[in-house]
Amino acid sequence: MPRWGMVIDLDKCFACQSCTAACRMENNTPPAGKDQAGMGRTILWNEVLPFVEGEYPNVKATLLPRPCMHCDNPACIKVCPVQATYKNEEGLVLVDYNRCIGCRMCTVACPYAVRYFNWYAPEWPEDLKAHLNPEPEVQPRPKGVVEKCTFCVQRLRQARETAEAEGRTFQATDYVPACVQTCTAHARYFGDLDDPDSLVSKLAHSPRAFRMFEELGTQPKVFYLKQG
Amino acid sequence: MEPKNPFTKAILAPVRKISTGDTLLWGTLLVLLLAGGAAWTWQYIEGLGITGMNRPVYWGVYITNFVFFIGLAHSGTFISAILRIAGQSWRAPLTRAAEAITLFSLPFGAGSIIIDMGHPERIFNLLFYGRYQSPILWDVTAVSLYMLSSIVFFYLSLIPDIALCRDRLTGAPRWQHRMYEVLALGWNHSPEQYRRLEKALDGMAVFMTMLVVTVHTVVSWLFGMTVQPGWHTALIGPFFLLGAILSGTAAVVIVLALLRKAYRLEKVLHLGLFNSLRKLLITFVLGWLYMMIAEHLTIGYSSMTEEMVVLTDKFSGAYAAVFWSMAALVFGVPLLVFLFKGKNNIGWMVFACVLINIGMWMERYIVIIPTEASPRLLTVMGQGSYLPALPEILITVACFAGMALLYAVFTRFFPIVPIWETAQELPGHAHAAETSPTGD
Amino acid sequence: MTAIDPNPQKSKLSRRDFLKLGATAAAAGAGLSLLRPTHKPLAAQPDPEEATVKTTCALCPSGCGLEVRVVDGKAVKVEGNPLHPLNQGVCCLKGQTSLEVLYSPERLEHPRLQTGKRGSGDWKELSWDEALGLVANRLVSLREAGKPHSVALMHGDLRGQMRQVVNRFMRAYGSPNVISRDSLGEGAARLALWLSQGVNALPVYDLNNSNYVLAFGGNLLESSRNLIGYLGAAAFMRRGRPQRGKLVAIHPRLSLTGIKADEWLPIRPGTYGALALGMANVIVNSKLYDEDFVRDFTFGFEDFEDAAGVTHQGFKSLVLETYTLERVAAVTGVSTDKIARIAGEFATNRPAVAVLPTEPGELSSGNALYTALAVHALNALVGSIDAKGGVLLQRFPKLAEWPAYALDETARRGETKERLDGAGTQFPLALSAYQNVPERILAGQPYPLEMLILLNANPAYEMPNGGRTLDALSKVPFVVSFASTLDESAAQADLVLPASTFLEIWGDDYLEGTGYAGVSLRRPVVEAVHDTRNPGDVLLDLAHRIGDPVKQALPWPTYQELITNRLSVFDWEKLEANGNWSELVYFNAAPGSPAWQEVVGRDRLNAPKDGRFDFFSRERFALPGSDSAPSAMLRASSACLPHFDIPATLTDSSADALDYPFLLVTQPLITQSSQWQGIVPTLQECYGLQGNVKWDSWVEIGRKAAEALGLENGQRVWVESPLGRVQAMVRVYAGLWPNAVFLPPGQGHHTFVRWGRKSAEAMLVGANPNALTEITSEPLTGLAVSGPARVRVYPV
Ligand SMILES: Nc1nc2c(c(=O)[nH]1)N[C@H]1C(S)=C(S)[C@@H](COP(=O)(O)OP(=O)(O)OC[C@H]3O[C@@H](n4cnc5c(=O)[nH]c(N)nc54)[C@H](O)[C@@H]3O)O[C@H]1N2
Ligand SMILES: Nc1nc2c(c(=O)[nH]1)N[C@H]1C(S)=C(S)[C@@H](COP(=O)(O)OP(=O)(O)OC[C@H]3O[C@@H](n4cnc5c(=O)[nH]c(N)nc54)[C@H](O)[C@@H]3O)O[C@H]1N2
Ligand code: SF4
Ligand code: SF4
Ligand code: SF4
Ligand code: SF4
Ligand code: SF4
Ligand SMILES: [Mo]
Repeated sequence: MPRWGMVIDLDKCFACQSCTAACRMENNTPPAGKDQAGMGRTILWNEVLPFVEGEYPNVKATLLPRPCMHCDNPACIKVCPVQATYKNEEGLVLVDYNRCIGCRMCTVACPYAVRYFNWYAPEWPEDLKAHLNPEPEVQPRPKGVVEKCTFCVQRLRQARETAEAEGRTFQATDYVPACVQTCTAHARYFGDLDDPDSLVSKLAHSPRAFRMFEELGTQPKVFYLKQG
Repeated sequence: MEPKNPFTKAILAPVRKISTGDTLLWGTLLVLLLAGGAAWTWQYIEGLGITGMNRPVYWGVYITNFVFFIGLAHSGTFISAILRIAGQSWRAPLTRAAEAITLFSLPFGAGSIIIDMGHPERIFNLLFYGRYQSPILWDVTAVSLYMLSSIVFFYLSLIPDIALCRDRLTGAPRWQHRMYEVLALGWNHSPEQYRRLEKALDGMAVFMTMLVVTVHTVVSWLFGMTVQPGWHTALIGPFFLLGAILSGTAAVVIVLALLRKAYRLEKVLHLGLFNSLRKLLITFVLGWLYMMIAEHLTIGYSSMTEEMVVLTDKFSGAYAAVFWSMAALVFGVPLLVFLFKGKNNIGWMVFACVLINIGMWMERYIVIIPTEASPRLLTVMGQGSYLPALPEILITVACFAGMALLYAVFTRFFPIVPIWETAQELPGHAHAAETSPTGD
Repeated sequence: MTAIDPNPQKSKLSRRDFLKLGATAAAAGAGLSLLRPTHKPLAAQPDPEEATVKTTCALCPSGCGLEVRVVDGKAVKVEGNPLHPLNQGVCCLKGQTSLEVLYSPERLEHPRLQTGKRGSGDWKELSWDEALGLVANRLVSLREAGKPHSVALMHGDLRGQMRQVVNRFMRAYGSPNVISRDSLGEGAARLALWLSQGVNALPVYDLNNSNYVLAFGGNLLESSRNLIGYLGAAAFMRRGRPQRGKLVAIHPRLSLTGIKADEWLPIRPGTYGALALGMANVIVNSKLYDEDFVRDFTFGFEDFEDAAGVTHQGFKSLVLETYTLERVAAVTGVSTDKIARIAGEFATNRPAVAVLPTEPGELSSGNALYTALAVHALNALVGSIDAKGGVLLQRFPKLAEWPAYALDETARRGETKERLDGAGTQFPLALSAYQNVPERILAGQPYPLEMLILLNANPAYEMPNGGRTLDALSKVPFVVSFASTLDESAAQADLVLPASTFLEIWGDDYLEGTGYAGVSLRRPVVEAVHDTRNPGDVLLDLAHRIGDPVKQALPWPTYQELITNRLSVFDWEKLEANGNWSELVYFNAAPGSPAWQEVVGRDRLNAPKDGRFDFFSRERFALPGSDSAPSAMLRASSACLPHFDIPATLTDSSADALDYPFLLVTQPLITQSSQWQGIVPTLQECYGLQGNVKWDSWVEIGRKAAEALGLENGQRVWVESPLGRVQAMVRVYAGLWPNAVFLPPGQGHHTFVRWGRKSAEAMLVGANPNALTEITSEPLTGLAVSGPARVRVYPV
């Protein structure tokens, strides 16, 4: 079984947020609108987080794209009372929207602020619904449940189906999440961390590699490469 | 047939009549409760979006209420279970009044969790897919067990008095009398029954004491088990527990004073009781202060970055006003009152206890909200903020109203002071356990 | 708005369902299993019809190749076209969200005529035939009355063949008035390249091969004309090749480019020109420049004597005498050490390139041309003209010939008329002077305007001009707009001809930004969502209605045929399969080689085509005098050299300085999509990255200034200039020149979709900083001068 992981090179990433937009368009996260966004209720599975430190003129800013870390030891799964969030055989941490009771324990527990709650039923103006991705996995989630980055799990299925239809064996490289595909600076890498020859596993072992909040023991499967 | 116990009459007196005052009070409480119900329906239809909760403050006053009501519930168990084990016989007249607080606040504590759920109708998923690694499931288990055993404990000690009502309140309406008959389970005041009852209660008291400790610790672990700054401390369990007992005991004082006044139970709920409670409260307030200092000093001294964000927020930042008034309400003012004014003065006692409970609610709030507002990751992104919205306020008010309503109604149908237990303890009534309290 | 039914999803856990008692033991009853949630299996769907269509993005000048996934006739996802040499499979956030443009509820659905007063909002929907009949009748009758020149067309971004189509249309019709928005933006860079290098073109920067990139302005990686190319190249410069290049961003504000650069050099707003000349001083002084190149292939480095025997100062003595480190440091606020160090690094880490923004922006303050010349001179000093890692020249492919057409008498007379915007007359060097149009209309100069056509242009928003644009629009008897949404200008038009979006039309784009020649094909991805048309088709239709010579100039019945005809030089099948055709290689011209003549001097009119880069602009020197331009200025030889005059608004002793202490910096964000900004919810939700601002405008202010004014993060304030005031939210930001404030452009559209639950409140999103800025023109070049405005900030 592949162990899917991502590497984001902060030296190449220019914080363009294309990943954020691609994720929304792929995964049908609803627009929040002005008043809801004002309450921090925007749902963007991949966000670029700004950290600005220091005083003029010695300002140090870090801009960190943040999908779900798909932790090997995820805080979110531990605290979920109904197994609505679970890890599948390939290490993807997913949410069963039909089971989630909306207790938001996982949103509170995830140290990476990855999980988003549907405060209302998702809404699009009628015309805009035309562009929604029709894949079943990304049908708009009901109100009252939690959702988050799935590593575009529908694309994994699609890649498998395509490989099967084309009569070849599925390769790890067939599967590319939306944010990785669109990354304008080619700063995101995706693949099988368990395959020592894969690009991601090589990069994950680079001296520049680090993981966010390593000290918390969540063992994220998203690695960052230091800037500079 | 007049009761021999001279207090029985006083104790039974409220049970006999429902005044206009009662109807007014019940009506008002009912309206508030219904308003909350309407708010909840609205929330169910629209979604939790209509609350003030947001990202990163995912939990607001509902969870605050949950912790608070569960804390309040500790009053009864503390008075009847812990003090029973400790052999503090003076507590007898208070037991039922205190246990009733437990019984009537628990549903609102547990209910708050359901109110807070995005999908309350999926509550049974807890049953089908319950996962014991989750602190929520610990909570659900502990609270349901607590609720269950409280009901049993409460009911057991109520049986002799129900029987008494059955026997004495012959003038009650038919349905009421019938209710007594059914609920009395054929109790006939036999010494054997009393012996067994005492034994059962003793046994349960031990169990309940364990539960009390567990329940509130587990409640605190809802927070403590996450790695969020301000929550992730081993102290949070005992801290919550002590706070719970403090607010519970303070609630007992308030309720007793109200009952005493409203139902003219001055003799039964005599001053001595209040003085004993005062001593207890002084101990708890000091204990709470100790916890408070221990916790904040540990955090402040080690000065870990993300912890300090939350700490400074409480001490001097956005939550400083709430924090320091909370400290004054829970600790400063009450301690002064207890030491200098409270002795033999029920008014002052009640005043201090009301402050304690307001303060304890704020304390729950201040534990929960600031940590959420500055989670580890978002500290640099700017501060989250939270203010409860109308539905949350309505529902919170409804919880308090509902609890008061249950309490008020209960006291009109059942004696709020345990007649059979009190008989043993009240001054001038040397009563042997062997003898039936009714003294046939 | 309506809620969407969640489609139940199959749970992977359901196999492991089991009943757990205990937790809710009290409640567990026999009948409970009835309540157990059931998992409906996925609805068996018939196989949807699916296709991937290649097209070309038109949301910014880059023109990326896109692949759009279309399911059942609906476009559902956009990806980059991996076979496109520019974006190579990636796609920026605007391309990603282009479907929100396509399906926007704010789009106009039918042609409409404003029946009430202009701006009254009383509209009547028309059929296309009625609408075009109306336009054609007017055009024909004006032409018959001998007044075709009184029709003007103002246009914004025009892609591929569209620019030519518009020009041919108007020329054959008989009007000189095709007025491009270039003067607001790229015009300065274009002019600078023409006056120095002799090519009328926009520079292309070869970041892929550069070792040192000096980006003037904050926008290289946020909103440059070749955004996608530069993002990819900057990443390649860092991690794709053995030697890591260095990127330095010079800007008063720490933009994304600054954050991600290796070094951010804060500078006083509007003083780039001085800095560039100060750096030239260092490079010349320490002889770090490319002496061979400067000696053999440039003109005007040393002092020289012209044919008339007059001695002129050269670039060398100019920078050595006038732009000393101390003086430049005083003007720019950058320390002498820093200037010296950066200049030294730049000159010694070749190939190096100095990037000038193609849009002078708000900081132009009347110095745009000379600033651009100064920056571009740095490239010549280090020999980076058409060199690997330097400034390249965009090449274009040869397409099929345009059909010949003969101007009739009316058209010929029209051609000789003075232009409405004063380009070529009032502004001798200008090709167009967009911002001058309102003034001229109001003054009735040079003749009363009878009809105005707006094509991808929204002058009332781009330059509110204190309301004068609106006044001017209302003075024109007939205004037609090709808008897709009811933008600020369309709202003042008589007739709106709703335009299809780029996803619904045939078209093309040149592969600009790579240097090498190529075209990219645009084709409809879905059928037109509404009753809209490609403006190209509309012009062809009108040409047919008007008849010759316009019809002769544009004989095709449809724009698709025009495109297929123009691109018929390529293997069409391959073009369709790849979505583009290109040469894929750039041949750098060795100085002095035959190809070099193309790169240096190609478009010179009056200056010799001797293959020399002009430090001293001979083109400029040869410019014939003009009545309207100040003649002293024209004759002074210093006016032929890059130089820097400190603009009045920048000096703190200026009259306004006390009342309006801050300089207003604005700069487009990567999350900004010009007019579409207002209607793309996802762009709003990504909007202000550093300050985490969504659906709003914010004003950035330094900590010290904020403290002095008692302003707090999140507070609402007025930002006020002598011209007007707008509301915004405060963001205290450390990355800002101390006496500057920053307000992003792009927000504050009036025409806005009612997002969100509290509809009325959500109407106006943010503020348009243009409402604060007076806009005038540079006397010689006709480039817009729009700042920096002086503003004050106070709580609402
Ligand atoms: N995401 C996004 N991309 C866009 C656009 C958009 O709206 N959003 N718009 C597109 C359009 S229409 C255009 S024209 C281009 C513009 O793209 P750019 O050419 O990058 O122009 P701006 O983004 O305005 O950047 C202007 C920068 O130049 C600096 N500057 C100001 N005055 C001077 C000067 O006199 N000399 C020098 N050297 N620098 C100066 C300013 O501080 C500012 O940072 O971007 C295009 N790309
Ligand atoms: N403060 C400030 N102001 C600025 C600038 C700045 O940097 N700062 N930049 C200036 C510059 S360089 C520019 S280019 C302008 C940008 O100014 P905007 O007005 O924001 O530019 P556009 O997006 O071209 O929009 C003009 C009109 O064209 C329509 N339109 C746009 N694209 C398409 C298309 O693909 N198809 C069709 N059918 N219609 C389309 C839109 O609906 C709109 O009606 O702003 C100028 N104003
Ligand atoms: S798309 Fe790539 S470059 Fe852009 S923000 Fe995301 S990770 Fe960074
Ligand atoms: S990042 Fe958060 S949501 Fe994702 S797996 Fe880890 S703990 Fe769970
Ligand atoms: S909100 Fe849903 S996914 Fe998260 S812990 Fe609760 S039930 Fe599990
Ligand atoms: S992997 Fe997929 S779901 Fe996750 S952030 Fe990227 S696009 Fe979104
Ligand atoms: S860079 Fe420009 S052309 Fe390319 S996808 Fe983005 S908006 Fe479209
Ligand atoms: Mo532009």
